[in-house]
Amino acid sequence: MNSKKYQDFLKVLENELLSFRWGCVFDSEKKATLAEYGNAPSENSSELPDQCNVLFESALQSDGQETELMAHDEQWILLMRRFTKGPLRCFILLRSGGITTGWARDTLKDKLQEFSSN
Amino acid sequence: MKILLVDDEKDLVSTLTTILEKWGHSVLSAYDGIGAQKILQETTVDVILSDLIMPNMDGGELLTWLNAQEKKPHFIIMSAYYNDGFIKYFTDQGITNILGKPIQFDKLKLMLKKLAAAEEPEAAETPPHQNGTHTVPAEHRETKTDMQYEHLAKDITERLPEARHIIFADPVTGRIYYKVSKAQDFNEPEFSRIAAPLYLAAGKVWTSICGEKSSPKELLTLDDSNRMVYRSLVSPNLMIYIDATTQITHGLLRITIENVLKESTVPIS
Repeated sequence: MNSKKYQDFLKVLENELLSFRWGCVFDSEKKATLAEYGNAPSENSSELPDQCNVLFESALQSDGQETELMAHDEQWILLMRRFTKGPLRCFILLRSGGITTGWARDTLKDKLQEFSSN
Repeated sequence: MKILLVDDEKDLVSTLTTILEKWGHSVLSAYDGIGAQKILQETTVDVILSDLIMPNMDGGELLTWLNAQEKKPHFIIMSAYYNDGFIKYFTDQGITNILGKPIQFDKLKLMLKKLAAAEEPEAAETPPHQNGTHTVPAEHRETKTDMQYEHLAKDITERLPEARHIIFADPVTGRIYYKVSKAQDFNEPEFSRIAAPLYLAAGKVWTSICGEKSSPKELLTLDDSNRMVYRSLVSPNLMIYIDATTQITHGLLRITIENVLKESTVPIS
């Protein structure tokens, strides 16, 4: 697995999303982080991708054909999306404010499609 | 005492079994609620020590099943999702033996001693119970707030005609307080099974990001046909779930719910 290409992908996202704080590409089958970029959100950040995956998988069960999950409070937006139909997941943490969630969602979707088709 | 230990973390089951046996108990184990059910159908135990979030059948579902049985062992629930909402939900059901994870063994030892001595569990303000388990009749909580939910649901329907299902539910258990459905495809048991773990999982992720005092206010999910499912957390005891299409934007959905709650003349919690 070439983790550099995923690292580069996260850098692209940082450029596109001004309020980008942290991003992670995670293999949900192997439960392994392939790439991580940005400021880790907390001391527990090493556990975060797996926790995010639990959340995503729960949503997947909840809504059948789940492709995306977004959670937010006043300060933060956590956006999760599949890379393709495969096991890879992309998690992005953004500061809320200054960017709409719709914009963030569409940008991530577009960039993932672009990445998958290349 | 004879203890049934239920947890999907196999390492924890192994470690805890060793400790409990050292304390003089005999231990049976299962890795999910279904495994526990099988054991309980064949034998009786004094205490069930169960995790909350597990695959196939979780601790909440096991408790619900147990409450319908004639013989009910003492029940100790343990979970990493140890917060006020979690504690309140279980104390409301008469479960006062609640353990956070990582487990404090002194606390567990004390609980088991108390149960062995058939003493009253710790929280004095909890409702009366039998053998550590008691379910508050569902009608009690629902009747109290039905009018409030009806009022809010009507308001949301008027402002968001696109909403297919509007559900008021407990975010910890997924138990539905009130429901308005315009479509036939709402799967109520599935909703209750999934809604709670989803919010609990979101809460755990959020704690990692924002610290102990913060919790997510809303979750938005999209399926392949881009239908939005929006879950807004109003309080630790109330979640509003709305199934809508993307003919409306997420922002509009969010602002509408915020306004409905803000402008409501009926207090809701």
